[in-house]
Amino acid sequence: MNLSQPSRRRFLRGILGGAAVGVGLPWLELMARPSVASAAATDAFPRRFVIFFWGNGVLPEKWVPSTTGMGFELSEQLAPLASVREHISVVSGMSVKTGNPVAHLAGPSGFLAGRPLIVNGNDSTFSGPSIDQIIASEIGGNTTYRSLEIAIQERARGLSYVASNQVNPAEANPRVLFERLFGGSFRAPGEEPIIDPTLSLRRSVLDAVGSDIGRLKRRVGTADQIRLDQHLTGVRDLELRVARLLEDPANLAACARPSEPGEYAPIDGRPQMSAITSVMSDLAAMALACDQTRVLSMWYSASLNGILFPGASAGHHTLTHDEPGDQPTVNMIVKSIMTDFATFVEKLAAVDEGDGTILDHTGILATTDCAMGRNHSTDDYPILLVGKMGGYLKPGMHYRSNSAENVAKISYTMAQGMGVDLPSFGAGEGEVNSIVSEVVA
Amino acid sequence: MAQRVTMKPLTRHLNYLGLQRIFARSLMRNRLLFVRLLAASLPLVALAGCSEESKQVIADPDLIPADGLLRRLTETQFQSSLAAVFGPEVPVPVSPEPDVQLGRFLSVGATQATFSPRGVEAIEKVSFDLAKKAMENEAVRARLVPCVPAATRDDACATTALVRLAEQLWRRPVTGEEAAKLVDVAGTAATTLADFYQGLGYGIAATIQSPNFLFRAELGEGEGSALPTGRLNGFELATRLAYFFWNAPPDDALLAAAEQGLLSTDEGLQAQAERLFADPRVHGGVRNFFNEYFQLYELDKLDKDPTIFEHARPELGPIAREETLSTIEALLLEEEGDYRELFTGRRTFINRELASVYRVPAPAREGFAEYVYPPDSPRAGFLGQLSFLGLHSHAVASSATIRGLFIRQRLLCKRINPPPVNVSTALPEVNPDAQTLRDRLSTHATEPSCAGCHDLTDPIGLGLENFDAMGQYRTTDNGGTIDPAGDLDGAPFADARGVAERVVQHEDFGSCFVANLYRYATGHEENFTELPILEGLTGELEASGYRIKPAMIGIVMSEGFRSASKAQ
Repeated sequence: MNLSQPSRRRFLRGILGGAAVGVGLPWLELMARPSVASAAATDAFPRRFVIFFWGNGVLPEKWVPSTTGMGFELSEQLAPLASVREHISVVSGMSVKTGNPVAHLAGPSGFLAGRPLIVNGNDSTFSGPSIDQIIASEIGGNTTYRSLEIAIQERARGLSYVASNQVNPAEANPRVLFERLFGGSFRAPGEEPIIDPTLSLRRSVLDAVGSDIGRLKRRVGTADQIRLDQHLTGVRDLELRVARLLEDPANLAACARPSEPGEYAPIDGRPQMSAITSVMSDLAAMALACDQTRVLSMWYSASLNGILFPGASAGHHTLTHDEPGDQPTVNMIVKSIMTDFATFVEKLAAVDEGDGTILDHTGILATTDCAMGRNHSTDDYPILLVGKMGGYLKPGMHYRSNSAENVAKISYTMAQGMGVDLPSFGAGEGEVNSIVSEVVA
Repeated sequence: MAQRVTMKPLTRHLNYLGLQRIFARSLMRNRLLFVRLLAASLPLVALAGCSEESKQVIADPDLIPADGLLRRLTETQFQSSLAAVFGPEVPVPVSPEPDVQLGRFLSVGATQATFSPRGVEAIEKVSFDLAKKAMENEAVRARLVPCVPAATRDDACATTALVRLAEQLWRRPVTGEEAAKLVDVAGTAATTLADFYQGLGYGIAATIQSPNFLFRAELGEGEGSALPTGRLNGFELATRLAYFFWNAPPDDALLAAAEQGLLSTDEGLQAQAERLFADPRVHGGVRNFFNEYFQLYELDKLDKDPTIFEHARPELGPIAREETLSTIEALLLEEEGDYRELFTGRRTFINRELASVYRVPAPAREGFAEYVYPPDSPRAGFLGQLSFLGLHSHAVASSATIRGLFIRQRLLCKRINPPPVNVSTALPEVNPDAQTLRDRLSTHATEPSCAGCHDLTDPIGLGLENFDAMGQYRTTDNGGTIDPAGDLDGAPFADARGVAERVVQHEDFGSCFVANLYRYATGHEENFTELPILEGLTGELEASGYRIKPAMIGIVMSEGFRSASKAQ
């Protein structure tokens, strides 16, 4: 087990004498600037955490590989990942421990937040932050963006929770994402920083907004204070981003400006999932290579989505319930999703970084909203771990839990790999405080 | 006095409120109130006397108002609020921060939501874009800047412009400190850019990015409350009133009324409510209420399989929404008619595309035109419109369960738990013994674990089976003859029109409409102490013949709308 920590992490522990570090400490942000350089100097390349998520589950009989260990045989639904199989570990046999009151959402809540849902009539919300945001709040200050949320399905909301009822909206338009990441203000390595007098003016506006938030905060109750603090985080992040535009772009060999994407309108009511995945994967790979973020989530399709996939006679969710027998169309859709996921993995593996690739420094957690769409089961949850995460993960194997371990342990393990040493993760039945050592190198 | 806590037989409401939590909290707070009232029994007597004098205000002396909260501007409120200031010359987008649905209302979700880092970034962009366009457009600039700058940096002129703008956008007077900060931003920028108006743009952007614009404060900071808890101050009340009636910000006259303290009197508040209802902007408000209440915003993604339905295309959902909203505007606003006719009436508004879907004569011209179904038509009201029939169906087939669920939950306020997650919800395949949906759904009725909930939904939905997932009339399903007859809680119906009749006659129909209008207006689900208000409003609705105007004004006059507890 390799528990080597990024250097800043060790530095923090030194200061705090090993005490648990609360998330969102303000001076973490103050430290953010220098650590980009120092991290590059000491830890050759930063580690990245990625979530890849799709809706409506799998067909477990066709998903779970029949053999375990290194060199396991890919199952039928995992066969589309053959080209990247050396990078893939399969985890099976683990369970959601936080109940299943709302199909398609309770599973992700127990997995990604380690907590039960809060159910309010027909609406529900995670009761706390998802693992990507816990990681981002600790390490996100190092990068241009604390975290990035990308959707492949139009209007997919994603499940990146900052707190209950607070979801980070995912960007589904490749052109808008391109403009945000690589548009006017982006400078590739070697290019001159921006000389623009309006940058300091933008900061003065954000400064005024920040003081307005502070004044308003004094008049409201605790719940609203928390909401305003989250708003303020966005304002402060933007101030930092503007400030960084004045500096030389970091010298990152893997970073280059990608080409501008085109438009991808649905064809005959069917979204171009594969084409959008491909172009979004290009942008995501460069966002990581250019150190725009180290925490990224890719919401391929939403929980409960009704996407009309090519060749399907009904929406995905409807089919999982209504298609009889072995559900050949559902099977085809899952394989099509895995084909698109393979594209994403290939794009990360294609960008060289040091002696390896971006994928070698990244850990992808890929999962869905239930095990089997037809019955919404949350036992034997589908989990893929992809990439080496800088040597932390052990790809290429199938680990099957024989004790129905809590899926939240996987989230906890990924946080550990990112150097975020949580005393525990989640709450109630979902709470965990140990890693799944079998998936770790 | 301690009896007050349990005095009203309100069990009818308990089923849809999930009230245990709220009730427990109310009990606790009522005890606190009890102590406070003992200490101040004189004002209580005075209050009782006062309430009886006003016919409009329903007495609810035990009211514990909901906590005062910040309400984030919804996507459309962001747009209408900026458009009110910048005018038609500068197009304004909806808010880049997506709405949050809570209790099925975006307006309620807005009391819990905040701004994401992505939203902050996008709003910054929008604010600079708008400020730039406003300063480049001479007409807009002249409206926003009623002075001539004497120099590149002219703080006096900037103050005049920015104070006026901030008072409109923030919906309240600005303090000297706040004004100075905005003017300083604008002045520094003017000096840097050597241009007064470009500099002023930065002050405008700061006003838009401010939480004072992006959040509506409804904190209960008013003085002189009749209750031992806070009343909204005049500006907070003006804001709540304007977004309720218009889904747009208060105008100058309403802000002036707030400034003069007129909104703290029954007469003053009622006069403004009457004025706002008479203003054309009330169309925007009522449209938005029904957009949220009927979840018509979901029609943006009316996904129908184009291989089955020839009419399926992305624009169809918004067209279907327009049919429903046009019908609502004509009935409830232009005629101030009976809300029940929205369900039972034969008149609608369709364009050529919808005429083709419904297989009725197309309008002579492009656009929407009135159409009245003949008396023997099977189709009537909202439940016969594509916006309802299509949205509450699958992409390929109708669903009696989803349609029935909407009617039970949204129109009759019945609380229905989600299905157990571990059951197979697949229906039997179409076979010679089970061709129609009614036959295929028979497991729901015969399996006790299903029947508990499906008895509440399926029989209503099966009454609408003569309309497929595209809202097209049919008499057979997979070759079997459709039998739409059934009953709603014992009241029999023969077909879809009968369903609509039974729904509007249902004992919970009026109270459910009032509750939803109240939740939308106040941004929260009513607590136990607000139930007497809702009962009173329901009585008024029935007495008025289900007119929306007295219902809306009645809500505004209620103490629940005018008050807020100080949040801890």
